[in-house]
Amino acid sequence: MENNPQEQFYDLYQKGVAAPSLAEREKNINEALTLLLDNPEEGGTYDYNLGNSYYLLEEYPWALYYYLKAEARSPRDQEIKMNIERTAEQLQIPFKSYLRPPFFSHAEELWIAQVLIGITFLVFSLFVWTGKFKKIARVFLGFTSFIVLAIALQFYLTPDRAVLAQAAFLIKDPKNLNERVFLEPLPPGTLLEIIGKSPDGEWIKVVQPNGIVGFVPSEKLLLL
Amino acid sequence: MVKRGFVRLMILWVLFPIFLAAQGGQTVRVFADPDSNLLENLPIRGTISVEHPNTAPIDKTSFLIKNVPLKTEQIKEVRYSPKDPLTLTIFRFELPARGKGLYPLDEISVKVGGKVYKSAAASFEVKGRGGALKSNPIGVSPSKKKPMLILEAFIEPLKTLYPGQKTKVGYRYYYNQSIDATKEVLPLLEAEGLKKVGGKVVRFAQEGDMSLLEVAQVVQAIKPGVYVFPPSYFEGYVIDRNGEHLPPAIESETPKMRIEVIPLPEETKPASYKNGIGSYTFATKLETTPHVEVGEKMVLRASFTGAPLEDLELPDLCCQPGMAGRFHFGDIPPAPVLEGDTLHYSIEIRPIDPQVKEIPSLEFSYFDPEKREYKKIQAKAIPITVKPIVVEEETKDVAEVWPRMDVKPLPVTIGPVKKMKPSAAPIQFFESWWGLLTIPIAAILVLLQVKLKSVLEVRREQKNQKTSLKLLESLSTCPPAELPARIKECFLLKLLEMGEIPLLYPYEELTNDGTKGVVKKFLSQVDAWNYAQGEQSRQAMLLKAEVTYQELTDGK
Repeated sequence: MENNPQEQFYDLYQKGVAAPSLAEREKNINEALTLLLDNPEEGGTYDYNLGNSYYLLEEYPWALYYYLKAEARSPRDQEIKMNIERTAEQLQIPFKSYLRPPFFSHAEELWIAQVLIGITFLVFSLFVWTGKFKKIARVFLGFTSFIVLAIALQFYLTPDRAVLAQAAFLIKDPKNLNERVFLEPLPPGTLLEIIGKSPDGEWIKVVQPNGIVGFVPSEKLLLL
Repeated sequence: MVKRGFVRLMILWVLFPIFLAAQGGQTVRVFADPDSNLLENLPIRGTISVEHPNTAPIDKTSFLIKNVPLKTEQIKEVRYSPKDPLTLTIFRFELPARGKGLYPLDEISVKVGGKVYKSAAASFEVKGRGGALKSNPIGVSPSKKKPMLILEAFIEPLKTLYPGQKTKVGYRYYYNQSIDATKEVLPLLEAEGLKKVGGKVVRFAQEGDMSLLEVAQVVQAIKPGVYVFPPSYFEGYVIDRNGEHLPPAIESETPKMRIEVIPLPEETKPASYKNGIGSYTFATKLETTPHVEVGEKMVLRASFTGAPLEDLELPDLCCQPGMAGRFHFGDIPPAPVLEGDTLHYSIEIRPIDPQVKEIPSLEFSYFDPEKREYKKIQAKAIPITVKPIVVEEETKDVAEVWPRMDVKPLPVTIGPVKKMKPSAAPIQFFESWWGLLTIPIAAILVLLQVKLKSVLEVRREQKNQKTSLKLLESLSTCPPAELPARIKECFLLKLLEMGEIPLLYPYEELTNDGTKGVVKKFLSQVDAWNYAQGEQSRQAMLLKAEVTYQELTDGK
């Protein structure tokens, strides 16, 4: 993103925060949001700023979605966790349902893997040229292989998650829309794990944090 | 005195029986008896028996049930005896068909001799049909007739239809005895491929000796095609008084039947055509005032006459020339109203253009199946006047219209936004799965290093390795004390290089023949020189060594 749009975004955002009326806040934040969306970036900060913008527009499911994306990139960032907590309060959903166990983000894990690969390479090179450090080279090789495999398995086995953007009924079977799992719909902002989908792709099979399985319309889900 | 009393008593004795007889002869009794074995969907039949004096005639048109005239038919009149003053007259009556169940039979009244007499209330049971055809031919004893049943299939009035048209299909059973059906195959009533309209209609009639049961179903054509219905079949048995089947079986079969549904011609179909197939007239009429303001409601009545009117749909008037963009139609589509032989639709419209001067001539089209062509009818245009309305300018404040927007916003409780730092491409590379390409790259680099190392070692060995030629070249600079030993080493190495000897050993052990013999001889001379010493000997020895070496190399 060039400086200009970035600076414009900050200015508009600050104007929105300081706005004396709701109308003015919505106007400024909407313009700021448009600038962000027109100049996409990769990174947790971009998602975090999107989350803040949606939060101020009171679009809490969308804010939560972007905060969770930012948290995936910066899992130790306390500001993001605080914002998730605030958003969960607005959505009246328990905060702990959003807690994420991994300490490192996926990018950080890959960086660690790169460093270990580099060290292993160096040790092996020393062994080749000097004939020494054979044991150390084997240890590093084993350890690095384990770490890389663990990262790959974690990535492969970790289910996709999604945030419910709108309230939706949890259906037992897409063929019968009257068969609901619960009488009440799932509230917007509910975090769900994806475990499958219907053949036409219009319904996504999800599991709630409490283990209950059902189908929700794919159009109402924001995939993380 | 006694004589007078006796006479009076005698008169009483004579008159009293006459009086009694007269009273007894004037008793009228009415009995109403529904038939037994009444079946559902068939008329309720029974008999009315009237016992009356001969002198009291029955008014045959006076039969009433629940004050409603009841049609009867006299079937018998019986005198108990020639001298009996009473007569029994029997009538047959018929009431409308009912479904299965138990019903009361209301009192039936009749005028006899000018006075009204009533039967007692009774009840009757209607049973499920169960395939039994009950024959009750009037005046004919069933046991005397040969049992007969004719099954007839019919498609009336149309056998060739257009989609949307209706016709009636069904069967007629002609029979002369009560027959219990054991097998019926009636594909016409299933009407596969056609749409059934309403339920089956059952009709019972008597045609001479034969009873008639008609079962009909109205069907509507949907898709073009030829619909062939296989032959129909009936099998049954005559049932006796005990309900037992009497062989032989009574069978009847009908040939296959065919209905053809022809598609409507598409090329000539007018845009205003909806679904009318038949012959119609069409007219429109304004039911409200023709002088309105923009947006004011008007009711336009569209009227259709002709046949068939049921299911006739209103054409899409909103899209017709002169209507689109000038009139707004109500959200709820108008419902059809059938008044006599005219079908009406009352349509709500609102003019939205003050320039509109009339409701245009609306078009209705239908398909004439006899001429096999579409016909169009144009209704007359209806002049109207539309006044424009003055729109007041919106002067309200946005804040007033949307009062919520003027509200103070909620305090911000989330953290501030962050400055974004652009991420370099190489960093992004390592943060992605592509970065794991460093694994094979590192492995390749390690293998390359291994290869490099082995190459270098070989080269080093090669570099350090002594050869006979190198030794020969070093002879000229070799110290004199080392010269003999070096010459020996050179030539023995040469033999080794030539493959003459497998390993290095003292020249004294060489054989005397061939190349080995030459070398042995020369090296002996070197030893001799070693003892002689002197520079001249040294130079000669060096020269000799070069020559001998060259000879060995040349293979001489």
